[in-house]
Formats: sequence, structure tokens, C-alpha cells
Amino acid sequence: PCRAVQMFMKMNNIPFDYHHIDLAKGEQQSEAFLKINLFGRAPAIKDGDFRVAESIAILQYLAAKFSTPDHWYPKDITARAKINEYLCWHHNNTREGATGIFFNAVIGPKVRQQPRDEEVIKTAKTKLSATLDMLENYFLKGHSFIASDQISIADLLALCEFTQIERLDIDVGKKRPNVKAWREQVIAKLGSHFDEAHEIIIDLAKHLNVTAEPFE
Amino acid sequence: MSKIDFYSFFASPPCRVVHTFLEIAKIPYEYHTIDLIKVEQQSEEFRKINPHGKVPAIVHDGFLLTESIAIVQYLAQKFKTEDHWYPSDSKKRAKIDEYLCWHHSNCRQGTGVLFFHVAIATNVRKQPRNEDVIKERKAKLTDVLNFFENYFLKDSKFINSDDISIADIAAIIEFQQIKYIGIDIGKTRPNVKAWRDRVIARLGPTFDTIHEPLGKMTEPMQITEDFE
Repeated sequence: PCRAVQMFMKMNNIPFDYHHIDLAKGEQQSEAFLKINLFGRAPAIKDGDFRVAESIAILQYLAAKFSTPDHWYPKDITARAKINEYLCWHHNNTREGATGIFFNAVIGPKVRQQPRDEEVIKTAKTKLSATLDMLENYFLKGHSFIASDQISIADLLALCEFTQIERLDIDVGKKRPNVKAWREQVIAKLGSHFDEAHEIIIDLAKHLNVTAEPFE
Repeated sequence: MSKIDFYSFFASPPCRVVHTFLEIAKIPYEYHTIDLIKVEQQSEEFRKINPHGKVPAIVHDGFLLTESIAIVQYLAQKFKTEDHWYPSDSKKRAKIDEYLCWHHSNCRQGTGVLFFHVAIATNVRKQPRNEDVIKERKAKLTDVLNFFENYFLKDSKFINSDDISIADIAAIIEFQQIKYIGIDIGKTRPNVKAWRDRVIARLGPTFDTIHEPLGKMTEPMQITEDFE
């Protein structure tokens, strides 16, 4: 979610000050940060005195405030509704599957020194599989991007969940040609902003000695 | 503008969210029951209308839309409902959107899953109570209600706003279902109590009517679940 917001701001030349909140050190629960975002989660933004949490709400706000090109979050009610449909579904589907795997296969064992919970990882993989099928057969059916022929905030959010698990050598496009083509197109559109936003996660994965996770 | 074809079932909270908004905003619609107990959502007939086999779903002038929150956002904009339901001001809207995002992974996880395990799994599907899951979901519900008490309702009469919005409808529907398993969300939280009473009063008789079938279904179960 943080990377999605960062790339969106860079793509649209939205001026921002980056404040690093080290999640591994638990800085999101610090007194100082809780004054910014009571949920104790990143990302969060502060625009003057106005605070917004939740990556999707942040992206929707920024698109409106900075009048970004329409394709990011279309004004047309029907086009917007199809993007919103994905954005709602994203929470308990894309995010649940991908983050479920990353959290339980990487953060748990390698950062928090917790044993792997194979049942939880298996459930997350099943979720990821179902998610990718929906993307392949519905959200990307007949479209180059999620529910649209142009890139939007939906694509940023979905891509960032998948690039996370690519650190485990999970290739979301392996058996799904629509997903494969979509991923390549989104990354191409993002250009150097994609590489820049992903430096930290690539370094983290190396530092933690992350290994491949089986997934079909 | 033509009316909405609305595919729904009384037992589904997201369906009740859409149903409540259609009624309160006086949007013309036709209700089509898709009986989830009979698994009608998987029927060939319904799949022709909605290939996902999910409810709630609407079809409006040939346009299919699923996901309750996306549906109510669409309805508010398409039918130009009163601004407070989904404000056009970007800051006010952002605070409603912030809640609606948080809702998926929080409110729903603390209420819907709890209701399922306490009422449906045990009383309808005759499965043994899963005490671990129930305990975990009650802990989630505690966190959720604390956020309501101390953040969403701290300085405002409604969720992040001084007037009722689709955020309040989404939340109240989730919380109302656990009333049927004997949980009073306002018991130890005065902001939550006041908000709940205010929202229900504002929604009026529509709210009671929409909940009647759920009440009839749960009344024989006589469940009083412990929760503080």
C-alpha cells in the first residue's frame, strides 16, 4: 500500500515529504505517529492539518485534489464504479492472499522469529489462486488493465501486492496469460518509479535471505 | 432513468446495506430474491445475470455491478442523492472513504464472522462451536468498537462526519446483526450507544422492516452471547 501511494505521487508529480516509518521497529505504534494516524498503520498522509489513512482513500483523495489524469480514477460514474468494485474486492482477496503468504512465510519466521504456520500459508495460497483466477477471467477479461483499458489506482494496488511475493519467486503470470501481460504493461507504464519504489523491498529480501516458496 | 434490478438475500449484511440505501434514498428498484440457503447464487439462471454468482448485485440499464460499497457509491452518484450520503467535497469524501476502506478488514471481520460462528455454524449447520475462532473474533470486535468510540465518533455525531452517510449504513448493518446474538455494542461505550440510536432513528421504519426476516430467523435460536 505504501509503495502504491508513493508511485502514484511520483507519476503525477505530486509534491511530498517522505517520512520513513520503520514497521520492523514498530514505529507505526509510536506516540508521535499515532497522532498522525490513530490506526497505527502506514501509509498515512497529512495535507496541512488534514489527515487521511488507508491507501485507497489516500489515492482517491489525491486524484481529486490534484486533478490527476482521468484514467487514474475516472470521473465517469460507471467507469469509476468498475474501479471501485475492484477496490472493494481487493481488501479480502488480493491483499488477503498475497500479504497472507508474505507475512506468514517471511515476516513471521524471519523478522518476528515465529514458526511457520503451514495451515495459514496454505489457506493464503488457496486465496491467492482464487484471486488470480478472478483477475484472469473477470477483471482483466477484455481489458488491458483492471476493469479498464487504461492504468488506474486499482492496478497500482494490485501490482504492489504481487511484487511483494515475487521476492519468494512466486510468478503470478506463470499460468495466466492475461495476468502476465497486465503485470508487464503496468510495470512498463511505471518505468523508473517502479524500480525506485521497489529498491527497499528487494534489499530487505536479500538481507533476510528469503527463499522460494512453492506456488502453482 | 430506469429502475435498478437488485439481486439480494435478507441474511446477507452487504445486501441489507444496499437495500437500506435504496429505500432511504428512494431509488426505484425491483427486488429479486436469490436464496443463499438454497444456493441459488450458483444457479445457471443467476449466473447468466451475474457470472460471479454473488449477491448483492445490481443491473442498471444493462450495467452489472457487485460489491455493496461500490454499489452504494454508484447509486449515490448516479441518482444524485442528498450530498451528506456521499459528500462531493474531496476532504469530507476522503474521511468517508477512509472508513469504508477500514470497514472491510475490520468491522466486517469482527461482526460477520462472529455472527456466522455463533448463529449459523452451530444452529443452522449443526457444527460444534469453534471456541478459538469465536474468542478471536470477539477480540477483534473489541478493537473495532474501541476505534469507533475513540476515533470515528470522538468528535462527530456520525462516522467522521456531522451528518449520516453511507459509512454509517455500512457499519450499523454489521453491528445490528450481532444484536440478534445478544450483543449490545453500546453497553460500555457511550459514543457508540448514542451513534447507534441516532442512526437507527434517522433510518426510521425502513431499518426495522429490512431486519424483520433476520429477526424471525434468529429468534428461535435464543442466543445470548457474552461480550463486554
